[in-house]
Amino acid sequence: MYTQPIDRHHPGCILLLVDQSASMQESFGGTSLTKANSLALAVNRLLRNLVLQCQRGEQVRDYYHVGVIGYGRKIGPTLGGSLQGQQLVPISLLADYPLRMTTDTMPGSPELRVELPIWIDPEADGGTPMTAAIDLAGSLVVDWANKHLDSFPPIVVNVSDGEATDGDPRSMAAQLREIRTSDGNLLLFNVNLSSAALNAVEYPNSPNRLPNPYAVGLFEMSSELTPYMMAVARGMDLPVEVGARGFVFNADAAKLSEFLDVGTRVSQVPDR
Amino acid sequence: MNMLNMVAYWLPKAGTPTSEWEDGVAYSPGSGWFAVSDGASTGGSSREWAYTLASCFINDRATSVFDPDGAGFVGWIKATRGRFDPRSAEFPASQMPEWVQAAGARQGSYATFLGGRVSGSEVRAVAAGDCCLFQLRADGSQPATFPLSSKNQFGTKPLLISSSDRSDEHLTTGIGYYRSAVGPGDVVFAASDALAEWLISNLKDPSVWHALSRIDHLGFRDLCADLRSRRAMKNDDVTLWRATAAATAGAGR
Repeated sequence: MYTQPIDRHHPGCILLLVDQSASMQESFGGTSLTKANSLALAVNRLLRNLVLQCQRGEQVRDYYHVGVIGYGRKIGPTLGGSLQGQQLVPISLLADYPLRMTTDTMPGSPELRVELPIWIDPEADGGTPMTAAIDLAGSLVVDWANKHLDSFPPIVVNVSDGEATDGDPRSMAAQLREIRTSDGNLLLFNVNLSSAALNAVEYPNSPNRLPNPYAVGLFEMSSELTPYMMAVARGMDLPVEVGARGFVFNADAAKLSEFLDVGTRVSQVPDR
Repeated sequence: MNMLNMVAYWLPKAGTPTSEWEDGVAYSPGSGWFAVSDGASTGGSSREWAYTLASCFINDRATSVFDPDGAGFVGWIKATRGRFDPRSAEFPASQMPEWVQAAGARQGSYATFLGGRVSGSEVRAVAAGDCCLFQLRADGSQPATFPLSSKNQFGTKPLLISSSDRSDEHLTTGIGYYRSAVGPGDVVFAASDALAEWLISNLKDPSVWHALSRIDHLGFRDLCADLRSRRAMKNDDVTLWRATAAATAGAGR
């Protein structure tokens, strides 16, 4: 399980659920950016890195289908411009149609600026209809899974800063995790963002250290990391033990970026 | 010692067009120089980098690359970087957006590499990564292998040569050197990693080496198809170069 390599005949599916509720306009602990700005930046960087993973020869190969669902005052696909309304798009289309280009710092060389394509803008308005977002995610990925029965199963990453305002999402999350391909069940990962500089709980393998029932609920909603993701996490010196879930509670901007890196490491995109 | 024959065969990964083959191979029967390179997916333009490494190696014929202190090979790599242009007209035009091309250029291109020369009565080679050389003696004894010797040495993170100047320290310690006498009837092979891994698993099977010493392009195609269908060889680009020494001294070219 979770060993199917990625290629154009067996693409991977990555769907991000991003909280766009009003509380996301609060600043991130220790930074001048709002949670919404930090999340949008992290998502755009992730999408850029996914595109670059797929460059081969003179083309971007469709090793992934990617989507971003925002949930706040509205719920739905949040890619804009030429991709507006599109739910899961081949990565080559993502490469061709960013909203615009801006500049970003280069990892390890902050004095250098590099181009950063923008696909989503920060939003912060309304409540937190997480349950409805998970339901919508299910309707998108079940179609994809039915068309890609032998692919690595879909990965859904839910990033939020607070509790759902439309009921308990755990049941819907359990249904989502029942979607499967021949290579395993859908992977649902969760990141909780914190405005305060609290100690994060990263990749727990039990709910024992979690501070409240909300965190326990997110833990219960989260799939275990695959062996390949565990190896990646260990390579990044992250605190993962056997049974680690794809879940971080009280994440700051740096931990959010780390998590998105680990949690979207589908088995063996051709590394050679 | 004159080499009778040099040939090379290659196939892209199954299910992909030949235009997507990302290995490089070059050889010169007259001079005895040869090279095999395997473009890595890390970074962009790796196919073009593999091609550049292989073609420059046989054109430059820089014997200093075989000096075990590493200075010659690293110096040759630095010189080759200066000639690398993935946007050259000799390569297919990119269909990627400009920002992707720019990011790929910044990342650099990567490839494994094995290059050598068969001259007089010896073969010398230099290698970085998991392209492998095999020397089959005329008496049919188990072939010598270089730089790897067992299946478990193959992995997803081989030593790679970068087209950028950022990362050379690892090369000095990771480069391998080979030097051996070549006798009448010996056959020397070079293979990229997928085929090399299978060959290393079959070092003790004389029928494999007997067949490989005589295989033609159609036989090579059928062999790879069979190995892939049985999952005996991973589905990857495959390249094989072969040089056969004359069976008696003075015979041949």
